[in-house]
Amino acid sequence: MNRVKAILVDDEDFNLKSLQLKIEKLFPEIDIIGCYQSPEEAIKAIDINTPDILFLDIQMPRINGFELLSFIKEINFQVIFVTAYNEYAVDALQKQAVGYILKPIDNERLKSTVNRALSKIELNNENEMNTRLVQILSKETSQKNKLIVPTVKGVSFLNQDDILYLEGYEGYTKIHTAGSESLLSSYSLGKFESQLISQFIRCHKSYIVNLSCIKEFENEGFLILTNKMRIPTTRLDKKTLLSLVTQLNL
Amino acid sequence: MIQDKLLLKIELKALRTQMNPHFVFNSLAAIQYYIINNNYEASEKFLVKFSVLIRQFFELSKEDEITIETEISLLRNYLDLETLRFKEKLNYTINIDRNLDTKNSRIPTMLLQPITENAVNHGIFNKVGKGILCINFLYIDKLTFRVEIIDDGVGFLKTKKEKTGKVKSTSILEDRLYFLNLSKKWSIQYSTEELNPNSEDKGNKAIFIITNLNK
Repeated sequence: MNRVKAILVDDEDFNLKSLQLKIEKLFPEIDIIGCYQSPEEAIKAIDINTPDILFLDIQMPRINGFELLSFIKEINFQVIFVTAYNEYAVDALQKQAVGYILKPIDNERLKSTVNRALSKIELNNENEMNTRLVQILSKETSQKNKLIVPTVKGVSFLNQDDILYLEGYEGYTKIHTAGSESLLSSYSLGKFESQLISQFIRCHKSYIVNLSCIKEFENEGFLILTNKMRIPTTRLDKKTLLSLVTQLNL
Repeated sequence: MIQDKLLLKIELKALRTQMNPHFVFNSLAAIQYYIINNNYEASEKFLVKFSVLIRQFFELSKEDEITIETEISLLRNYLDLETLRFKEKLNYTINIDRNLDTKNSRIPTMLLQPITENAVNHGIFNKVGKGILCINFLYIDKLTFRVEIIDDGVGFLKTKKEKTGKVKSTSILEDRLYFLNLSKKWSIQYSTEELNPNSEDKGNKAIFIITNLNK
């Protein structure tokens, strides 16, 4: 698991130190990037360096914990309230906090609350990482004319030039390449459209074909591919096909 | 009549025993800090002071009235604990008029404590920088004395603005004064004013004029 950044806010110096000591002891994966006694300073610090977890006292001078949160531009971190008295517990949970800890701090309670926050962070990270991975990979691979195909086994990288056509099938996509067997992906046809280079065209709601693999065009509305496969075409007439093929210098 | 008196007594008792849970848990958290740091001496000192105060609270909550001397010792214990917590942010003094017979003059229990707590936990707590609390006991005549609780904190208006209803102790005080005056044992006037109306931190001056009608 990655390092987790935490910020601690409590107006009382020794509450901060107690919490800091406990976190350091119990959670070696957490880096405490800041401890603040002044709510005003905390707000500035959080906006500059967003933590993964914010430990937040409720009763503080001038600005209480709830007010502090309302000053934060974007709350994309886990909030754990730390409070001496639980009259605010309901409020705390309504503020979408992952939990609250009572002072004096009970180690077991601290552990379970922080673990809950950590698993939420991990889940968020994983989702984010998947999205980013696909983004980065698709940028990389489109330059090399590769197609990324998430499959049951993992991710396949196909040379787009080798692809004859893609076939939509109940939300799944079957990718047919010259020679080898077809590949089945849980991504829908639409999700591949943006990745594909310009020589691919969606000729039918269930088919995307590689224009360079077309052998014949039938007036009845069919494309015959180099492997003799007959693909229906509803979105492509002879004139459009002709102009596309000319444009692409195929 | 008897029933009314009994009811009055119960009402007063209910209003008297108000120990602020924030104070209790914050004190315990402070003790925890010294324990974590293996500072046995400080944690023990804090724990004993805290126990003394809790004991006093329990014992005195049974009493309708106590001597001024006892009241002052209660306030000192409370403020000593808060000073451990607030450190140099809080400074306090208690001045006692020489003419006042603190050993024999009496005062309703837990009358000053909530106001003192308010001065510390709202007035001085919310102030940027250090705060000073001053409590004066002044002799007026054989039956009457005056108590002033003065802080140079943020002032009442500012703390009252807070929507969380933190000035709970004030309304409890009002109820209590109402019942005390109704009992005909006491005549108590209470008023507050700003200490420094022209500065940012207005401060607060709470004044009790207490006459014992029992004597």
